[in-house]
Amino acid sequence: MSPKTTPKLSPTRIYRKGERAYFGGSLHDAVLHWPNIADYHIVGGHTLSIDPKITDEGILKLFTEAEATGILLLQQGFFLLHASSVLINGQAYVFCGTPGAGKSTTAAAFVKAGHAPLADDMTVIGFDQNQQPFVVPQGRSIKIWQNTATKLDFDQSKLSPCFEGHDKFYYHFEGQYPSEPVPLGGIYLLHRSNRFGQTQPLPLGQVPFELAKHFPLPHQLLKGEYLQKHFIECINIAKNAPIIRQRRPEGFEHLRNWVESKR
Amino acid sequence: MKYKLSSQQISTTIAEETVILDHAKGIYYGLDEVGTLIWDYLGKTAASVDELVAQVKENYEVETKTCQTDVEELLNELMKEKLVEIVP
Repeated sequence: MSPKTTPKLSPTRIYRKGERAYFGGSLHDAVLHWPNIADYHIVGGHTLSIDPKITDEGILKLFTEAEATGILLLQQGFFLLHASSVLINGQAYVFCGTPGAGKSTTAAAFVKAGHAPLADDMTVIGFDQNQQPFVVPQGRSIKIWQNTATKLDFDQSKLSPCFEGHDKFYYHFEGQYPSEPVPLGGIYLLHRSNRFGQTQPLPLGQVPFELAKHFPLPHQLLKGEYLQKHFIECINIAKNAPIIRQRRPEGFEHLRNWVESKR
Repeated sequence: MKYKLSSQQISTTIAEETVILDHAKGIYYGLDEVGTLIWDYLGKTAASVDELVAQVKENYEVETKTCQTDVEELLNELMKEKLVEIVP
């Protein structure tokens, strides 16, 4: 990317490994700038070019597979959520939540119980001809914390380092894996607050706003024409799948029981 | 004087509840059952306060005066947020 073509960059609210991302351009001609990692130029849903500042392939893979790929998918028309998702009885269940609400731990508990992971950190939702939402499987690997792996009895020999932090690991799911998109079964907004009940459907009026909170890409993209599309897609999701505020079961024992109850 | 929905919003109604997005400002709004009735009517055609009051009275048992005050209040709020505008 030549300096001539670099658009004006503004800071995002996205951080990874202590680095802050910067965004420039527009939805269909986007620049994602990680000052000490790489510059990404993402165009028209077909081109993702990388100008790396480091040589470590593991770290580059980590950054490339996150927001940069997310922007490419957004350009292709997918709806994205900062959420984990798993396959349960032929349907995709999505777990959103503020950091610490337990989305990846919840997903890990389902994976441990034999359910295929569909997304680790970024759930990719599309719509078929009848506007029915589906989730695109993102691969067999999930990232889990050392503590979660221990508490949920994961086989330690199947964990490999994930470059995101010393105590985070990749786990590779070896069971049956879907080769096609999976119908969306529901979205859980996990929380630990006593303000809401244990399980409470989200009022429709709050759906676009709540799902916008879990938009995984630079907030600069969530405006104007795309914001309208996001709104329409949120409503479409809400019409076709339950969106539920769910207080996350406290402790691993309760979590395991909850997972058992969903089987 | 007639009112109509502005062009800086899109909205949807499900089960007597309306959610509105002001895409110029990036703000979401919600309307209750009666608000939804008024909003839906304005979505079909521009209307005066009297027409809207008549609509509400057709569906709810309410005094004309109270109803008129409520409709005007809602219209003022919607005008303030530029979700509704006066037909020139």
